[in-house]
Amino acid sequence: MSPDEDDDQLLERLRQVAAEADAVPENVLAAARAAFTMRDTDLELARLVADSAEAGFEPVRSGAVAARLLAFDGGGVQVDLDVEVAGGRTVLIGHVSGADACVLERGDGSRQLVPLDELGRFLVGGVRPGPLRLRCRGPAGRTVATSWVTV
Amino acid sequence: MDRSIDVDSVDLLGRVRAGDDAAWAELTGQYTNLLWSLARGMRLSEQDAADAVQTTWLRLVERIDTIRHPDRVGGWLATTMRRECLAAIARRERVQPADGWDDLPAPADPLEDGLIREERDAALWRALRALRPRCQALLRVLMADPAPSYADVALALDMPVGSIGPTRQRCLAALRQLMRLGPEPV
Repeated sequence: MSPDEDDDQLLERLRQVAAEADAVPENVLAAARAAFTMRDTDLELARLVADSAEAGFEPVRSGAVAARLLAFDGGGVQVDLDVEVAGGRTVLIGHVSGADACVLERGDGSRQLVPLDELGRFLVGGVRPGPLRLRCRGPAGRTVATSWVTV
Repeated sequence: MDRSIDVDSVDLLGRVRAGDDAAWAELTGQYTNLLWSLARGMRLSEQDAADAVQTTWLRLVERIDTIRHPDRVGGWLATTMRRECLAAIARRERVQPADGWDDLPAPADPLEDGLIREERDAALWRALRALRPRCQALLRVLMADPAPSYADVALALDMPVGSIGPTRQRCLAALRQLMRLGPEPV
């Protein structure tokens, strides 16, 4: 047997062991299939234009709070989002302009209203980990969503 | 490279764009295992790996109509997933010191052998853990089912396509060496 065939065989064996020891969980496969139900061709995208986690910033920290600052822009809507994690709890603090109502949308499609004050500011506590985005009613009633962020 | 794969992926993405659920199921069936394998090869916990895989698929849905190279959707997924994994690692590093290391449950080791029935296989799985991280990541990605193209592997691991074959050979040789040495001394 050639060394290449030996390698192919060993890799095949590893593939079988991986299927046993570290298979893709069923909920991960289900979430992948369900992602398509989030498709909405009328949605306009407010793209991520700044992310403190990617810009090579030093982590923003005060005491035991770790914060990540994000900015989105698109479809006439701007969102500044501050993701703060303290003691294992996640809080979203932000500001929206160009929109008069927003919901927080999770990867599984669930939504919760995000109350905006008269200046467009909001605070949402007790956010569970995972992907989320802000979905807002923008200029002329258009629906604008930020790109996905995993917290 | 196998051209038929590219043609298939253009056709598949066309059907997905037209709203075909079955095409989406086929696409996720083809790549979810690779995305999972990449996350686990980069040593993400099950929860972080699950979030990163879900986010990658949600991003594809978000960008599905504007992807420039439908023939390279696998590469797009691999690149996006790599970025999500790096972001997850950065998130952990940001959060953990602030919380105090003592408060955190140790993340489950992706190379945990508890589910393996045959001792022979468990020993092989443990030997993987002793390889250097680069080898662990490469071999774990190459274990994906269906087997990934080298073009996708290159993007997933940010390494030149031409170095995958030789690196694979060296990593498997190192693994055999570890197996020959027998059970690791405790």
